[in-house]
Amino acid sequence: LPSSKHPGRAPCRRSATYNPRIVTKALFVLYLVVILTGIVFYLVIGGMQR
Amino acid sequence: MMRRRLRENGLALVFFALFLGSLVGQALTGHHDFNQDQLAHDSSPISMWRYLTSSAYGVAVLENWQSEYLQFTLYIVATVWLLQRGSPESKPLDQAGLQSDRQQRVGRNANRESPRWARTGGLRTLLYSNSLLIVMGLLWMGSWAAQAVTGRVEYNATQLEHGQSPVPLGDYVMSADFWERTLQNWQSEFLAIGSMAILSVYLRQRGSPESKPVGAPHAVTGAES
Repeated sequence: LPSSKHPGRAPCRRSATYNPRIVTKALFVLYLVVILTGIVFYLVIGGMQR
Repeated sequence: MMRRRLRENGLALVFFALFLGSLVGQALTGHHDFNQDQLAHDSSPISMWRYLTSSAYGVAVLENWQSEYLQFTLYIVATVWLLQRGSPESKPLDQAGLQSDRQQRVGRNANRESPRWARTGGLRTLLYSNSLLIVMGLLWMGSWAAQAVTGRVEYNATQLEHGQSPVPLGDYVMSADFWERTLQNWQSEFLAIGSMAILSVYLRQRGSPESKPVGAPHAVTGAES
């Protein structure tokens, strides 16, 4: 079916796996992992050596 | 599709890249500076990996992390109750406090698109209602603790170099060194927050959500504009 917003233009083909929020979720996890890794790393390693 | 994904996540992506670039820059310059100091003290220079895993680098990174997370933690909680007439950073003057369930769309007031934990009620909704503050607060306390651990090792290394005795962690967190490192970071964060709250009453940046619309009156507070 043609897109109702853009008559005449072919509708976008959506892949079954396309989820625009997946990058946002991945970034949410990335930030948490980076900050938690930094904290735990220096709590453990940073306390051992100058 | 890729372009759209980048566009929709520009803030998180660009600031992550800036973070990595600055962290690498700090490592390169810090390593150079550390080794200059080693040579000046007739000690051997250390490798980059050894520097990255050192308390010297750790304390320099974490004393800044803790102050940033404290800044946001305080800002999140302070702006629930504290207001600033004319500032886009403040809620409207009659909205101080936790607001009603209806305004916050929790429990029966949640809609189909609300997060699940906003709908369920009870402990889960209570936790979710404060989840940003809880997580930012934990990150602040975690990075502050890591600053204390790494700062102590660094402090003790200097103590030993000068023939003085090392101190336990409990003594270090009461020391001038720990509090000087902490407060030099806090003061700048508090000044920046206060500046933003008050400068944004009279100054504008067209197009920025951190600013009121250019034509908004100075007296208009927060979402009233």
